[in-house]
Amino acid sequence: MNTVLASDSLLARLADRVYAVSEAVNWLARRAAGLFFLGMLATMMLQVIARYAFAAPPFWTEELARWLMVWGGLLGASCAFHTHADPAMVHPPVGVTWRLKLQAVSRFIASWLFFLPVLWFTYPFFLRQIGRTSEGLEVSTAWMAAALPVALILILFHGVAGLGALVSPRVLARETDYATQFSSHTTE
Amino acid sequence: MAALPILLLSTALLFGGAVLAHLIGAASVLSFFAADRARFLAAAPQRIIAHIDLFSIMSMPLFILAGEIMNRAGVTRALIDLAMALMARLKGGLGHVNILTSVFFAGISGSAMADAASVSNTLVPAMRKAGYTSSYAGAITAASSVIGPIIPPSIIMIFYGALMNTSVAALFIAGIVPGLVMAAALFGANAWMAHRHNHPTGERVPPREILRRFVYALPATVIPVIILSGIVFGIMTPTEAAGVAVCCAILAGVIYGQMSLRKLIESLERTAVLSGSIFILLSAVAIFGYLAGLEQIPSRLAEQLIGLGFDGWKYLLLLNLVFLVAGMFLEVPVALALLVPLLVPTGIEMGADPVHLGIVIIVNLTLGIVTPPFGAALLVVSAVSGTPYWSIARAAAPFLLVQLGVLMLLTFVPEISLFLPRLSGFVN
Amino acid sequence: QSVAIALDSTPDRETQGSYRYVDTLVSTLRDMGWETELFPRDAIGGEDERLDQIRAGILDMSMSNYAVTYQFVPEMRVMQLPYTFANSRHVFDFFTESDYLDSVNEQLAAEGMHVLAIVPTGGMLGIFNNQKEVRSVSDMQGLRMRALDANQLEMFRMMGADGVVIPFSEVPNALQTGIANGYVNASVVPLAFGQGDLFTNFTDARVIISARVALASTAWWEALSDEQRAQVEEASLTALQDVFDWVDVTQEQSLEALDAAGIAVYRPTDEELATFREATADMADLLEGVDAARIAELRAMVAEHQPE
Ligand code: NA
Ligand code: NA
Repeated sequence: MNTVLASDSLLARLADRVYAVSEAVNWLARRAAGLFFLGMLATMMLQVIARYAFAAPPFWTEELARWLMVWGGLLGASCAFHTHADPAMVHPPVGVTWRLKLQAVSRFIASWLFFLPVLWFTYPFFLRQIGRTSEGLEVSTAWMAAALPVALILILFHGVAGLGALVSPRVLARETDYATQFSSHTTE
Repeated sequence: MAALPILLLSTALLFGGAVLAHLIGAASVLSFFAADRARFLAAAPQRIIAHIDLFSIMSMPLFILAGEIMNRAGVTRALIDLAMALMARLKGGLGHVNILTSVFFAGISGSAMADAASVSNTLVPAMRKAGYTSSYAGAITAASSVIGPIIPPSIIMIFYGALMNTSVAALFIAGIVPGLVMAAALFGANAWMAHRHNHPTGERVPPREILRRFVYALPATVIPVIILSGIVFGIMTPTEAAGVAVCCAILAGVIYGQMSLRKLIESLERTAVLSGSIFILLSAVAIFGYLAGLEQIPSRLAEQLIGLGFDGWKYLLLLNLVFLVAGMFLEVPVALALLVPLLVPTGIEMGADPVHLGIVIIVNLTLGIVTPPFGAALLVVSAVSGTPYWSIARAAAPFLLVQLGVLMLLTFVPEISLFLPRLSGFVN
Repeated sequence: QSVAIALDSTPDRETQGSYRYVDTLVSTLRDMGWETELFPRDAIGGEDERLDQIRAGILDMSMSNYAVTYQFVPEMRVMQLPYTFANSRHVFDFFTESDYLDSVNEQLAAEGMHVLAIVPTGGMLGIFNNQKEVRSVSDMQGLRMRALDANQLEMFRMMGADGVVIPFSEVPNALQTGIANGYVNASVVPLAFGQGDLFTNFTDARVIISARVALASTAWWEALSDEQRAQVEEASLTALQDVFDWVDVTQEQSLEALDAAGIAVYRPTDEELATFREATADMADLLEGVDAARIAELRAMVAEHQPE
C-alpha cells in the first residue's frame, strides 16, 4: 500500500480528488432526483384525486408534475452517465486495462462533442425563457429550463472525472465496478 | 464532404465503448457544422426540453417506478402460484405456467426484461426439477417475456408515442389483442413440443387451493384491470393510470409485507437513473431529428423508396426487416430513437396507420431480445439460470419461428391491432 | 431575398385558414422575385420550438399560437375577451386599419419577434354541446364545458355553466364519457377533426375571435430593406384579405355542413346575443397585468372600427 502511495504521481492524486467530487455530486444528484420523482408522483395523485373525487382539477398540477419530471429525469441522466447505466454498444472486457482506458476516453469525447455545443447555446436560450410565463403555474419557464444547464454541466464534469482512469488505478477500478454492476434492462 | 471523418470518428468511439445516445448526438452536432448549419444549433436546448417536457412521457417514469416497486414487493411469486393453479395439470404444464405468468406480468409491468429476470430464478429451476431440460426452460422463459411490452402497459409504446406524437392510450389498447395472440401461439407451440418430447404433467391443484391463490394474487391481478379499464373507458389518461399503478404496487407490497421506505427510495432513485438515460436518448433524437427535419430527409427518403418500388406491402416488409435487424443489434430504445423518426412518417404518408405501425415495430424490436447474437432476454436468462447462452438460443429457435409467424399476421392484418381502439373511439 | 416559413397546419387551402394565408403570401412574394422555403407542420418542431427558433433568429417566419403574444404583451388578451369584436370583418378592419399592431411590435422587438398579421382559422367561435339547444345565456345552465385555460373556465362560470380544464388530446374522450358536454370552437373545427358525432347542437354565438399569429423573427425583419419590408407587408395584406374573404364564404358553408352532419345549428337573434355579452362583461375585470383604464381605452379603439 505504501509503495503504491509513494509511486503515485501528483496527477493520479489530482485525478482521485476530482473523482471523489464527481462521486459526491452524483450522490447528491441521485438523492435529489429521487425526491423530484416522489414529488412528481404526489402531484400526479393530487391531480387524479382532484379530478375524480371533486371533479375540479387544478390547472397547475399537470405542469408542476412535468417540471418535477424534467428536473428528476435530467439529474437522473447525469447519474446514469456517471454509473454507466446508459446503453453502449461495446462493453470492454474486465481486466483488459487498455480497453477500459480507451472507454474512458471515448466516453469523454462523445459526451463533450454532444453537450458542449448544446451548453453553449443554452445560455441565450435560458435568457429567452426568463421573460416567458408558463401557462399553468404562471411563473417564469426559466425555473424548469434551468435543469438543462445543471445536468449538462454535471455530465461534462463526470466525463472529465472519468478520464482519471488513465492515471489513477483507483479511478479505473471504480469505473470498472460501475460498468459491470448496472443492468439497465428494465426499460426494454 | 465531411461525412467520412464523422463516420470514422463515430465508429472509433462506438468500439471504444462510448454511450450510444452521446454518439448519436455528437455525430448530429458535427453534421450541423459540416453542413454549415451550426447556427441552427441555437434551437438545440429548446428542442431537448420539448422532447422531454411532455405529459405523455410522464407515464414512462411512473410505469418504470411501478415495475421497480413490484419487483421488490413479492408480486412475482403470487402470480406464478396462481398460474400454477390454473395450468400445471396440463401436459407440458409448467411451460404453460411460464407463458401465463408472462401474460399476468405483462399486464402490470412495462418491460420484458423485468419479466425474464424474475421468472428465470424461480420457474426455470422448478421446470428443471420437474424434468424439463434447462435449455427448454430458459428458452420458453425468454420467448414468453416478449409478451411484456406488447400487452400494456409498455415503456416502448410510450417512447414510440412520444416520438411519433401518437396517442399512448390508443397504442396501449391496440396492444392487448396482439399480445394475447402471441400468447396463444406460444401456448400452441409449447403444447406441440410437450407431446413431441413427452413433457411431464404437473400436479392437479384442488379448487379450494385455486381460490386461495386467486385471492392471494388479487392485489397483483387487480392492477392490470384498473389500468386497462381506466384507459379503455377513457376514465384515466395513461399518465394518470401510471400514477395509480404505482400506488397499487405500493399497496400490494404492503399487503405482502414486503414494502419498506428503503425499498421505495431505492425504486425512486433507480427510476430516476433509468428515465435519465432515456431522456438523454430523447435529447439526441431532438438534435438528430432537427437535422433530418431541416434537410427534409424523411420526405426525400420516401420519394427514393417509392422510386425503388417499395410501396404498400413491400414497404411494410422492408420495415419489418429493418427493425428486426435493428432489434438484433441495438437496444430497443436506441433503435426506436434512430429509426422511427426516419422511417415511420414515410409509412404514414403511404397510408399506414401510426398505431398499427407502432405495434408492428414494437413486436419487431422486442423479438430482438430473443435473437442472437445480442438477445438481451437470452443473456439474462442464461446468466440467472446458469445455462449456456447458445443452448438457450438454439432451444428458443422454434418459438422464434412461431413468433415471426405472428409478426407477419400482425403486419398484414392491421385489424387485429386496430379493432379494439376503433371500438373504443381512440382510432378513426 | 428569401424567407423560410414553418407551417402549423396541413397544406390544404380549402380547410386551413393559416395555410391559405401562407400559400398566398408565398406566391405573391415569389412573383416579386423572392426565394421561399416552407417547413411542413412539426418538421422542425412544435409550437414552443418554433417560437424559440424565431426568437433565436434561425427561423424567419412561423404560424404560431395567439397565446405567444400575450405571454409578452399581456394586453393582447383584451382582444380575446368575449364580444370584443362583433364579427370577422370587424377583426380584419381593426388589425389592418388601426396602428395597434405597431405598438405591440415595439414591445415585442426586444423579445426577438414581430407580428405580421392576426390570421383567422375560421369564423368566430361558437358553442358546441351534446345536450340541448342553447338560444340565450340562460340555456347554459347545467352544461359542463371544456375549458382551454383558467380564463375560459371563468367565462363559462359567468355564463352559468360549469367548466372543466381538459388538454386537447383528451377532448374526444371527455365528451364521450360525459366528463364534458361541450366547448367553444370555430364552426369548421369539429368536422375537420372527426369530432362531428360528439355533438348535437351548435350555437353561432360569435363569442371570441379565432386567431393564429403570423410571427416574423426580428433578426430577419430588421435585416430587410425598407422596400423589402413594404413588399412583405403588401403580400401579407393580400393574403389576409383572401383569408377573410374565404372565412365569409366558408362560414355559411360550414354551418350547412354541420346541419348535414346532424348537428342542429342555432343562429341567435341580436337580443339573445346580448344576453351572452352582458353575462361575460365582467371578464375584463379578471385580466391581470392590464389596468382597467387601458382595457377601456383598447375596447374603445376596437369599437371605432366596427363595420356599419
Ligand atoms: Na406490459
Ligand atoms: Na415467462
